[in-house]
Formats: sequence, C-alpha cells, structure tokens
Amino acid sequence: MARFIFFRLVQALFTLLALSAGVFFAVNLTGDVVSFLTSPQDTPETIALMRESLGLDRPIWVQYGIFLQNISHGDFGHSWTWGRPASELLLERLPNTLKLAAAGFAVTLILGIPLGILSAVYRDSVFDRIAKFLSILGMAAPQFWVGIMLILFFGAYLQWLPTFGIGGPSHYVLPAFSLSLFLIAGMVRLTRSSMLEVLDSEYIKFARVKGIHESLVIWKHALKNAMIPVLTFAGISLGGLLNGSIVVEIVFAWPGLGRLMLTSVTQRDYAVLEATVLTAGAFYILMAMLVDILYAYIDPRMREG
Amino acid sequence: MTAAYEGAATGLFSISTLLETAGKVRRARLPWIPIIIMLVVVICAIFAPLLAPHDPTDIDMPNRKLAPGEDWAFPLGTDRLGRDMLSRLIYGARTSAFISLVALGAGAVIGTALGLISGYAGRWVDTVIMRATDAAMGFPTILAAMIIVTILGAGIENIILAIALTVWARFSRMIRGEVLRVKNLDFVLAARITGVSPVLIIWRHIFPNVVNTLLIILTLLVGQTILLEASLSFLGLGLAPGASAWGLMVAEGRDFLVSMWWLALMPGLVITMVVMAFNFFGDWLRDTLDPKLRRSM
Repeated sequence: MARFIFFRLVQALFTLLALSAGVFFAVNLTGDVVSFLTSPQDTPETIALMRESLGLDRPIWVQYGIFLQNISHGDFGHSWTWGRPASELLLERLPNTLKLAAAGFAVTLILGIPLGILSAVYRDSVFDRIAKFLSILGMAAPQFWVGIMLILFFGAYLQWLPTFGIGGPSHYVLPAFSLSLFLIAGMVRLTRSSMLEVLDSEYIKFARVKGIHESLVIWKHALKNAMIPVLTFAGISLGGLLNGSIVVEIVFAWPGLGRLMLTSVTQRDYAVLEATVLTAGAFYILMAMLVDILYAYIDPRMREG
Repeated sequence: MTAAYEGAATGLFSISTLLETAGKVRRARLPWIPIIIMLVVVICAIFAPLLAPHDPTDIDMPNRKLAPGEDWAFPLGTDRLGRDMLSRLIYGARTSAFISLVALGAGAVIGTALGLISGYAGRWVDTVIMRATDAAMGFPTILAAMIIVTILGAGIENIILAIALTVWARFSRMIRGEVLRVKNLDFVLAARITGVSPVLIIWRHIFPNVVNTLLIILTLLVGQTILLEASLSFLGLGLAPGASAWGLMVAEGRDFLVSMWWLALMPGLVITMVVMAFNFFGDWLRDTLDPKLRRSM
C-alpha cells in the first residue's frame, strides 16, 4: 500500500509538471507578450529594453525554469489588468470557489443518496418518480440555464432568494443547487441501481429469511455494500464540480476562481490565467489521486497495475 | 472451430452483422418521441434557410420585444432588435448539429483508433495510451477549452478542437475494453497463426466486432456534446455575438431576464429537450443492442 501511494504521488507530480509546461509554452510561444504592453509609437530600442527587463530575451527553457522557480515560491507574476500580484487575486478568490463547491457537494450527497435509496426500496412510488424526473432533467438541462431559470423564478418572480454575489447562507441556495443538479442526477441513478443489485443478492435474501427486521436489512446490511460505487462516484465528481463552477460562477456573479479564469482569458491576462489554470489543474490531479488511493484501500486488487 | 469460422466470415461491412443489428432494432419497440425530436433537429439543421420564417440576423425594429404569441408572424417572439426567435432557434440547430457532428466524429475516429491499438498491442503502448486517456477523461473540458481559446483565439473550429480533444478518451477506453474481450477469441488467434498482419487483423476481424459498442457510445455522447457546445458558447468562448447558437442565445437573453423572459427560456428548453431525446435514444439503443454495457456506461 505504501508503495502504491508513493508511485501515485510521483505520477501526480509528473502530471502537474507536464501541465505547467503545457500551459507555460502554450502561452509564451503563441502570443507575443510584449505586443500587448507597447504601442506602435515605441522605438525598437524601447521594445528591446522592455523584453530585457521582462527576461523575454533569454532562451525559452531558461524562462520556464525561472517560471517554475517562481511558482514554487507562490509567485505567479503580476496581473496587468488588476495591477496586483496574481497570487494575491488567487488567494482572494479560491476560498469562494471552494465554499461553493463544498455547498454543491453537500447538496448532492444530502439529496442524491437518500433519494436513490428510497427509489430503490419503494419502486414505482412517489420517491421513484421524483428521482426519475430529477435524474432525467439533471442529465439534460444545461447548468447555466437551470441557474438562470432559478434566478427568474425564485429571485425575480417570488423574490425569495438573492440571485448574485456572495453573502450569507441564503446566497448559497441557488448556485449550489444549479451546480449540483447534474451530479444529483448521476448520484440518484447510481445509488438506485447499486441498491437494487445488492437487494437482489443472496446474503440479503438470507438476512430476510433469518427474520431480521426489514429496515435493518436495508439500512445496515444492504446500504454498506451499495455505497462502494457511490463513494467512488462522489470522489470523481469533485472534478466535475470544478468544471461546473466556472459556468455557475458566471451566472450568479460569484467572485470565485472560475470567473477570474474567464476574465483572464478574455483579457489575455497571462499571469492570472497561468495561476488559475494551474491551481484548478492541481486541484483536479490531487482529487484523482485521492480517489485512486481510497479505491486501492477499499479494493486491494486495484493496488497492482 | 465454429467461432473461428464465424469470425472469418465477419467482414467489415458484412451483411450478416448488419442484418443482425437491424433485426434487433426492428424487433424492439422504437422510442418514437425521441426519434421524432431527433429528426426535427436534423431536418432543421439541413433545411434551415427553407424552414425559418425570417432571416435570423434580420433587424426589425417595429417588431421588437414581441412576446410569444403576440404576433403570429413571430410565433415565439422577438428580441430587442426584432430578430425572430423561431428562426434563430432553427439556425441554432444547424450550429449545434455541425459542431457536435464534427467534434464527435473527430473524437470517435481518434479514440477508436487509439482504443484498437491500445487493446491489441498491450504492454507499454497500452499503458501510455491509457494514462493519456485517464488524463483527458477527467480534465475539466471547460478548462481545456479556455486554454485552447486563449492560445488560438475564439472561433467555431477551436470549440470543435476543444471538444474533440476531451471526448476521444471516452471512445478509447470503451473500445479498448471490447478489444480485450475479442482479441483472444479463436478466430483472431487463427488469423494470427496464419500470419495475417496486425493492421489487417484489427481492421478485418476486430473492428467489425466493436462497431455496435462504437454506435452506442456515439449516440450516448451526442447529448453531452450538445450540452458542452452550449456551455462553451454561453461563456462566449466560441462564436461571435449575434450568431445563432442556443447557448449564446441564453447568454443574450440573460440580460433581459425580467423584461423578456422568453429570450432565455426558449433556447434552454430546446437544448434540454434535444439532449433528453438523444439520452433516451442512446439508452434504448444500448439496452437493445448490448444490455451488458448497462453497467459500464
């Protein structure tokens, strides 16, 4: 197990390094940074001076080395549009995204798992119908549209909930729900089918024959085994939360990482772009690694290969 | 021996396989509602100029801000510039269909090829391709699209590239799994012993046996691709403002949410319905052709 964790850690580090190289070279080889900072009136000397002061006259490999050295100190460079260090912006926005993701994840677990269990236990009941409706809708409705429709109904029409920005707990309701609807759909489907399969197994029949109370059979014997694939899905879906949070942050004007990323793309703010993409990528790589390790812990067969 | 014989008879577009697939499809009860919705989308995409009652970019100030049903010349209403909602939705089908088709097609070709190679070659080739698959599979697509758009600029071709670059992994993983199942069957071994080249074995003997799976993944992914395309155009990463794309229309409608609710509602409703139709059809196709796949997809 220790060996597996070690190899997985090394692999994650290399993936991160590859991502950093990809982002760095992509940004620096395709766009001429200086052309954004100078005007046509500038003399070639001024431009050359600027190149030198930014270190752009050095070979690209050296520049990448310096870039790596800097980010290892948490220095992502200066944002042109904000006039502040990119790392400062990052630290300001990251907690907001994490809070939103946590809220969305909590909603997914709280709604998805019980609904999946209930719809498996009481097939063709009201629960089953709600679960089916939610999972069909969640798989098909675009997140940004769900968010906008929620704003229209609960914000503009009923005026029950705030629709933009960050604030008290009520600010989380609509964004967290739009973020998680897609995941709830997956969670309900998976919990339902996993639970149905377990309920059909021999040991559950045996428990019933033995005369164990039905609720104990379901909530203790069946649930434990049905939860294994569900937990894996929960882990993997954290990456999906990241994807969705970009869209949801735009819809709800949420001051998080995703919105920062999009503005840095549209304004070609390279320092911020590198900082946000690398952070998001690192987050994703870390999650994937944790899921793998968790999986190996649950199922020893995964430790090989 | 029977297996070897059957496999050898399975040519690339062999009539027997096609007939078998067609038979399975004919015997099952067809999901008519999804099929009709899918057909409507395809017809709208092909014949948009003939079907649309107005030019989708036509600015018509006297008829601006019409609600749905207010004037039957504009059944689904108009926006603040008087552009006809219905016509824009019809042209939007064209954008969605084009992007999804090309991106998914490219992803399918690359993914299937890599899946076939990965599964058949095994060893380090398999390891390398599968690690790349893992990376592409999980990497947030919108993030990838943002990087691509930053580097190459906005445009339809870059949206397509972004989608293709992430979608291929779905194909390579599933196809590889199928290849592993097929490659040790008697007829493949027989072909190998008689000295048939690996390329020919993959093309003639293995590929025809994974076509069903390919078909199923393809249909199941159409919905997701449409959603992805809509999200990217909602974020303004691909198409110029004013273009007729469903995602973009929702984004434009968002600014007039209270005064003109139909602008954001309609395109989103269309996306949801279309994606639902493809999802239903994909599920149905999977259950009909290969119920075993249910667990893995």
